[in-house]
Amino acid sequence: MTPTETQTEPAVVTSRREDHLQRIEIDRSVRWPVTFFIVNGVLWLVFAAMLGLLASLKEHSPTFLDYDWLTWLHFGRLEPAAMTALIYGWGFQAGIGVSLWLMARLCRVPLRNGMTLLVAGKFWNVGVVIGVFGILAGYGTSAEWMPFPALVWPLLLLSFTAIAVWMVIIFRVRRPGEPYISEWYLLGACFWFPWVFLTANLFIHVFPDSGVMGPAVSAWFKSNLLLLYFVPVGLASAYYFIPKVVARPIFSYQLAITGFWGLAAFAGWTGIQKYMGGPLPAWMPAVGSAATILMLIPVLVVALNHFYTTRGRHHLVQYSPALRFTVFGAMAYTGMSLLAVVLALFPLSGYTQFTYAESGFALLALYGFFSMTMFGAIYYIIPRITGCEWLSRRLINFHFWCSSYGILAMAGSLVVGGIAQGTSMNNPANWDGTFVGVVMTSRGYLIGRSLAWCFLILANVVFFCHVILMVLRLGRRSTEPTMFGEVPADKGEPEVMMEPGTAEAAKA
Amino acid sequence: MTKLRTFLIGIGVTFGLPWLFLVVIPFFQLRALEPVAYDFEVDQRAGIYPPNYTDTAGARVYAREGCAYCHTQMIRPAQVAMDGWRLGWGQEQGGKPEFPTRPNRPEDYAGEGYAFLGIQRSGPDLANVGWRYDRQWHYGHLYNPRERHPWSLMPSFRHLFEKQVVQGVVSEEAVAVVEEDGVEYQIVPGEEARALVSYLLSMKRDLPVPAALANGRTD
Repeated sequence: MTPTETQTEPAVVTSRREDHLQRIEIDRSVRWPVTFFIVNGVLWLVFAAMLGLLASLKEHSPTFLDYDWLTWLHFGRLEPAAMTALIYGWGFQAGIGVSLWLMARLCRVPLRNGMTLLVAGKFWNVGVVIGVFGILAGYGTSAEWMPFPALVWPLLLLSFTAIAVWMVIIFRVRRPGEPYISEWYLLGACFWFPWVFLTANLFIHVFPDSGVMGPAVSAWFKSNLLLLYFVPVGLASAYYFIPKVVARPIFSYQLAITGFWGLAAFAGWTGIQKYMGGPLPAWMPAVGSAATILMLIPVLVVALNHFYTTRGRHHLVQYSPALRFTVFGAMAYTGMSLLAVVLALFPLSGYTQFTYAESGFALLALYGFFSMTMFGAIYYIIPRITGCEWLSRRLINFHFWCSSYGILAMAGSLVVGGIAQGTSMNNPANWDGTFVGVVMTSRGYLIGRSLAWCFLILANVVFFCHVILMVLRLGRRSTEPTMFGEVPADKGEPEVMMEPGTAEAAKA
Repeated sequence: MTKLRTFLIGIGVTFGLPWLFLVVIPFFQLRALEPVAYDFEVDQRAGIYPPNYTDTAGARVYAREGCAYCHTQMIRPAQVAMDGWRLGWGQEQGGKPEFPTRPNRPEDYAGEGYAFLGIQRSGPDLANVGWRYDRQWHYGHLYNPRERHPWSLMPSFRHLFEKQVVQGVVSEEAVAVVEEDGVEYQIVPGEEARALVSYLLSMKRDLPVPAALANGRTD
């Protein structure tokens, strides 16, 4: 059933108009918290990319900026600071902003009392500032993806809990009806993240003498933060925007539910394969590898579902920025999961473990999948909460291509460089060599990574300026959304569409 | 609200299982391992294993400088990787050893607050680096890594060193002597550099494992 067909029935028209007005009211009500999280997030993204570039430059050219008074600013501090800014500054704030908007819209409840959210958001930012600058000042802990000084975690946990409670309340007072798959993913993230975060921080930062379980918990945390926070939020967004823009219900709701429970069942077991062959009981990394391979089931289920939902309307990525970014993210999700399997294979671990390939995977996941999905969502959300349209399709196009080339170059050079590095390290002929071979084999790829960071900085400075202009309400005053090109009339009008998860969509 | 309740039970069970069995139980089993005494009759060795507690102050410097972002501290088994055969990565520092350095086990890290197994290996493994160099070599290397290896990508840790006026003889620990405005200064390791090097020197994790442990018994 196409939207034009439904409009022939007068009763439906009235209810559609009411729905539309209500959506406007909801968008208005979440305007401030969503804007706050997105703008702060994008600011952190630009900062994180700059720190990332600096860390990368320092890794292949350690004499760069090597003044006597500046030697404390070296790779060992810059890298964790960049990842903290990227994950907690950008990733979480973009995730929270998009989650709030999605939750309010899907539950069809306008926001009352957004003050809690703003206060929580401010505390979150204070936590990230202390975290990033604490690491740079020499108070880091070197635990992967949580290298900030120990005092930061209660602050982050409390702020997030306040936001999660708000999301659960909204869910409970939602307009009656079957919850949509995105709501389940968002709710899952609200419960999983505090659970994972609290466990990891208690075991690493609070209990002393964790011994070998310290890094094991840290590896488990990293994998679970990715699979149980970033993946659910990214998928919630993809499950909303793909059907929304192609104006079609998702291919199979049953499949979507299967994908959700597959993720829930396998994700918690992953992570410890990072230390395969290490000083841990062998079953722990083995379980991690097995679960990572099993994760392909929910991943392929999601990929199939998205593919069949868009089938026949793939051409819409030529017109809709939201869809183009989301589809890139959804494809990167499949790509990163396949890469995760390669990195989890025990026989290959001699060539991949501890190499740059692992860092390539992390960036592909955080940027190629999660950030690109969030960009898609932000391109859709911002015009609706600011009441004006994106200024320029050129800037959006630039952001997309610069981001895609940047992240593909980044992941490509790190994965290939990592394998080159692993091969050199594992070459029996090098048994008595100094480390020079390994260092020199991978150095060129590290220079590639620096170039990729330049692309990402460029992309996101442009994106930041565009977002700021929109938030200042300097966007286009128009009823026509900014598309990459005119949508041909016979190919469907992406802006007139059904709301995923409504009874209307379920009927179709 | 039964939907929400079913949902919560669902994610509670699916995530609670790995949380409990993969993280919580192993954590309390493997944390705070006690050193084990060698049985002279069986092991032909006296003393305890592992013999020396690592330097906690040094480990803190190791953490905050992010050393683990480039250096691992774990030898993988010979059937997976070359780690054990690499020159200088174990006790044997001379020619080609007859046997590879043994892979590590949890007890090797007994007494360490947090075992820095490492995040990436852009530099050599440090699991047994204590055998490899002496204190003074480390000071020189931390101060200026490229003096030892021109191709090294390691940052200089000059901020861990202090500049002192030379009074009489130059200290044996001095890594450099500089002259400014006619005054002679020596660069000596600070408190943190000393602690860090003590920590590095304590890393000798390939000692023979007591038979009691090797057979899987810890009593």
